[in-house]
Amino acid sequence: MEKDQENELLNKWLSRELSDEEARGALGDDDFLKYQQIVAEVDRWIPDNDPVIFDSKVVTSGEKETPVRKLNFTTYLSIAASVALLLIATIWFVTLGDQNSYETTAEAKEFLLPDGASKVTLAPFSKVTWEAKDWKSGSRSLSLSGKALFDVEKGGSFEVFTPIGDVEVLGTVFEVQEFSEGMNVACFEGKVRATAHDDQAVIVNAGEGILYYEGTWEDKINLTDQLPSWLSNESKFVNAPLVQVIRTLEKQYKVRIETGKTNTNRRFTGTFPNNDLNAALKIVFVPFGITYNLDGETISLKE
Amino acid sequence: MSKSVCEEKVFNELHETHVVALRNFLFYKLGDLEKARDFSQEAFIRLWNNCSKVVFDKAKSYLFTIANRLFLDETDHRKVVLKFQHRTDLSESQMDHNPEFVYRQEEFKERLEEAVSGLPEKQRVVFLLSRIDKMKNREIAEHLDVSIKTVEKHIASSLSTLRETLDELKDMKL
Repeated sequence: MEKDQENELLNKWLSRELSDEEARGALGDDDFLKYQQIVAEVDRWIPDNDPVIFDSKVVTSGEKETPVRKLNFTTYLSIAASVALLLIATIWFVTLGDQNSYETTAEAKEFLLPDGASKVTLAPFSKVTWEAKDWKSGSRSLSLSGKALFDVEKGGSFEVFTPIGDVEVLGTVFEVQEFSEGMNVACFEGKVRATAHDDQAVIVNAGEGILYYEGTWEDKINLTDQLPSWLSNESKFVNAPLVQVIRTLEKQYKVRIETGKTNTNRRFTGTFPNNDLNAALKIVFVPFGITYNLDGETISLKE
Repeated sequence: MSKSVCEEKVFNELHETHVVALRNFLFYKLGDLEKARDFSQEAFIRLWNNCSKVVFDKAKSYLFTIANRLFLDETDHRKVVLKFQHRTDLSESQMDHNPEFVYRQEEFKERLEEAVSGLPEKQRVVFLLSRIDKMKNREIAEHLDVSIKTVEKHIASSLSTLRETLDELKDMKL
């Protein structure tokens, strides 16, 4: 049989324009059965049965090339209408060039974000990073480790990613804290939607705070202050897991707290000062009957 | 307005839809699963980095173009030795298909793998995308930037070459 003619028959058979019987008649029994056996075998093949090749998060969340780009300041300035003004002792105006992160050490600081109008106030030992490219294309997104207060200008989306979950702005002033065991969201103006990485989402309205801990969003609490307490040199907690209080102490005072066998699931309601470690430790641990031993930068707990 | 590839949700959707076909495409070319995975990841990284320049409808073509370029830039061209697993998720139509065996079943898979590995690269890629990934001839033509006629020709030639190779192997064994 002519090669071309045979190829045409094969194509028609494979695309089901020809039935098996018709193809068998045209190609001859022997060849047809061989082709059928080959195709049946290949059709059962797969390079690898593992459905996961790589997570798209690997691509979107990190190992990208570091962008080296100039940011556009004017776009947002022109449409800026202030949502809220935060009074902070020091206001830092930073020239944003190739910058794509801010980090604090012992002191809280306010920073201007790449849209030229929104601001972030970072609690001690906290960090935000971003991709200049995202902000240029109008998608304002940041990754946060630690705790921060955001003052967001109108215009476009604004999202904060944390290892535990993400918060998306619906027009607002809000605070996010991630600590390794959970996250806390407090909304002071407007509204935000927070989505944990297990896809559980909650909407947090002005004056509400909510904690994500041990796999669930807990009941909302009503905030009694207009702004987070840490801006006024205190840290205030309402029914917070002890572990969250401990993580906050560690960041605030740059210490390491060894919890040992202490039960850190108990809840703490109260306020500790941000400039007096001894007082803070007393306020937090004494009521639980936990004794603590301060050795350099390490505090060990015992009960 | 068309969806923006820069949106994470859109990007994730593209990833979910195309990652398997892209990895498989590279595997058929390279014969190396690990490298196929790395190159497909690299293609997605480039798509993400250039997300504002690629329109949604062109994203798949973009991925295949990048993957092809990565393959061409690869200097370490070893002899391709393809190995496959049998699907654990056989569809009903595949189960139904119970051909009469002409070739001996024993070692048939190994001999066919060898024959497939020996096909010219372009034929092999087109044939496997069609059979394993169930891509339509039109889709293959679009993504590899060839005509539908060429795709048809590659598929039919692959099949007849495979038969000839298996026949030769069979004759040698006799």
